Amino acid sequence: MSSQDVLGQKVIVLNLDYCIGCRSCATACTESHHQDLNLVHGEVAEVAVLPHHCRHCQNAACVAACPAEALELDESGIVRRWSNRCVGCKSCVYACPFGVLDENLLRHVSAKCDLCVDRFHQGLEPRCVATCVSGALTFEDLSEVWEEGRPQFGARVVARSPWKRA
Amino acid sequence: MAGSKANRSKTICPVCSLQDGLILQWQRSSPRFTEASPISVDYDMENPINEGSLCPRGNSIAELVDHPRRLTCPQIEGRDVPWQEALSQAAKSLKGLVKKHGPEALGVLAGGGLTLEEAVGIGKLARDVLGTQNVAALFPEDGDAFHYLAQLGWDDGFSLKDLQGRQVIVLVGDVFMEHPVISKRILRAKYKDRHSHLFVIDSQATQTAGFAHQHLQPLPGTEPLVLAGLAQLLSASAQKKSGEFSLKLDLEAVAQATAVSQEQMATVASALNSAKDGVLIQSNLFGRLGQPGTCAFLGHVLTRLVPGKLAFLHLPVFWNGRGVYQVLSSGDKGQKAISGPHILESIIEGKIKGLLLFGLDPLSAMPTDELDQAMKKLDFLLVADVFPTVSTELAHVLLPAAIGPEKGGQILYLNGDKQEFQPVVPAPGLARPEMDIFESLAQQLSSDTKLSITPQDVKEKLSQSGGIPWDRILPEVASRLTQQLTAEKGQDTAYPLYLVSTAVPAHLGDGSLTRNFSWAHRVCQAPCIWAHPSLMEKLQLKQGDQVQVSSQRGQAVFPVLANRGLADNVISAPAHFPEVRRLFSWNLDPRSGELEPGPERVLLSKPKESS
Repeated sequence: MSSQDVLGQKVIVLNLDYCIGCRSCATACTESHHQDLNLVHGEVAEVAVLPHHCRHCQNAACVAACPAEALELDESGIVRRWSNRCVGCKSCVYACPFGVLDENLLRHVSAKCDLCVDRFHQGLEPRCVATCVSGALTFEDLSEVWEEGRPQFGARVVARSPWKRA
Repeated sequence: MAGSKANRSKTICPVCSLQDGLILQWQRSSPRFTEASPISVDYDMENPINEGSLCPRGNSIAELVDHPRRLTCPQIEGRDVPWQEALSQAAKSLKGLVKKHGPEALGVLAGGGLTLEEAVGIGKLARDVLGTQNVAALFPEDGDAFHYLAQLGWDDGFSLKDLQGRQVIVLVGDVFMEHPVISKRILRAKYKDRHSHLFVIDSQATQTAGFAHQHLQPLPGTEPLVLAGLAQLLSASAQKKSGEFSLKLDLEAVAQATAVSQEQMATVASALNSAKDGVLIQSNLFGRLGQPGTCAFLGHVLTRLVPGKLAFLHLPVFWNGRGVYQVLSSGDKGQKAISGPHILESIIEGKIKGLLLFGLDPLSAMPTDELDQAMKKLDFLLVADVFPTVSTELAHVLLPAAIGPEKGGQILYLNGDKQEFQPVVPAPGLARPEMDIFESLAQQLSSDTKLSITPQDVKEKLSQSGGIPWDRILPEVASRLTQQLTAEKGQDTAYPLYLVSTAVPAHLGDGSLTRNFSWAHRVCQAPCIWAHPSLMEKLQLKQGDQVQVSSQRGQAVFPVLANRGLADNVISAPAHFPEVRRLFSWNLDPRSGELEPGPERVLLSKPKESS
């Protein structure tokens, strides 16, 4: 099986029913990416805290917006950033429709999720998924995500009743 | 890239009491002390306890080993010295003090990061070598809960693995934010396995409470009354009774004092009574639950009222807190051991002139102005720790110690099982495991004494536990509960608000360990307070404004942030900072002599204009 077959089809899925907002995923991400915060969290009405993952879009706005060709969609379907080309202009941050890029520049480059590509090639899930304490984050095949009867809020977010968890 | 050349070792997270399994990995050829630490954390997916999950603290463990702030060299008065010099200086000062004031002028305090062998070693060093009985473990959060559970004989036998099969789960406190890793099993029980019914008893509408089928939100500090109400209801209706909860509380008065209605209590009681099995989990946070010891006692009583069906699990804050407490609280030959706060009181009174601290910082854990002054006046202070703290600044002799993966030994798991582990990485610089420190110190103090700890010693210390039936302790608890019931009626006009603490998953306990983690530094670097937007509006405060919090203990100025999870007469602050802990009262439980870090009455005002 080529890497194209595996990587392009697997996605990180957030189950809102389970997320407790502890930010373990973000810690795992920064600890393994030289303290870059590649995984930002949104705070909904000061009550819910939810991780926003990079969607690794097929037609990515951040890639189109980058003037320095620092972002590209590689052959395995991962949108990657080359920090040596990044000029820190934040165009990608503003272009991203999901707000997943952290606008605080560390080391003057914008932080970007790489789906923990080093673990990926060993057949392991990204660190944010491995560390998730509540079971909210899973790494699933795109075909499983679109399972019939599974309530969806976009391809990467599932939940029964996100506003009332009972 | 983590390839085949990487060294991988399974170990245990050395921070909280869940003792999660993890893997430390590093490149064999990498030099130590490089800017980017070559050591990293990997997830032990096969671990039966945590299944690979790690909370923010667990993810930061790799930083511990090569942290630039680690203490790596012994010091005398701030000057780096070889081990031999530091130890002989310590021995000389200790001998001098014993000669001048007698052995009872010495005190020894231990923290929750020690192994069972090390705790036994501390006991022997203090009692046999130094000749003092002033030796104790200091746990401001858990001390009194430990006391009651030790007296009752510990509720063992329930492990996290059993959580999934429980029909009713009652959480007391913000369990998910204090020990996030436990959430996976609880939520799996709720959504997948058994569709368990989840109740949360907590004074704040937290993330944990957001998952509850029913959230009982008592007024801060009245949690023991709610649990006593539940016990009374269960005692009246339980199908198979094993004892009578003879406390005749007026449930209407309980409902009024706690703001939890009788119907709500009845729902929980009938769920517990009709369920095939259930579990009550209590987690302590400094300044969150009123009388945590009484809560733990009542938790134990509830399990006895519904025999065989209900389990009680107390989640201590620190790694081996329970083990260290259990070893050090059993004095020699049945003597009653002294409590940690009582040793601190002796320091304040000037009775203790020489102090040895192993892996804790009382000035972060229980800071007060009196203790500050008294610690500065000590004739001799020896501190063995891993990171610089307020106490290490004052130390006459400072010894660098090892932590978790750098040492080996046995620790006690939540259900009372012993866990053995091996060292996987060497301690940085000249740092040594505490056991080495005790042995060398004992040898310096008297050359003919050899401090050797055998597995039998550990076993003996652990077996000395209470087993007192709960109805013998009940009258004491009952008088305090009835007192609280009458006292709750009064409105405090000078201090109209409650201050409770909020758990921040990046921090643990007093924060003296976790403050060194870069993630904690990033998300919760300095204390702040949270208040409901309506309260902020009433006081004309905007997000981020500086505000003065005053209690009977003192006052402090913090920025204020909005939080809709709080009632409008409650403010909250992270208890992982000494500045916050200073606002809380120093109340000791009369029975145990341990601290009861309950909610505090405060006043919120605008700070006076500074020039």
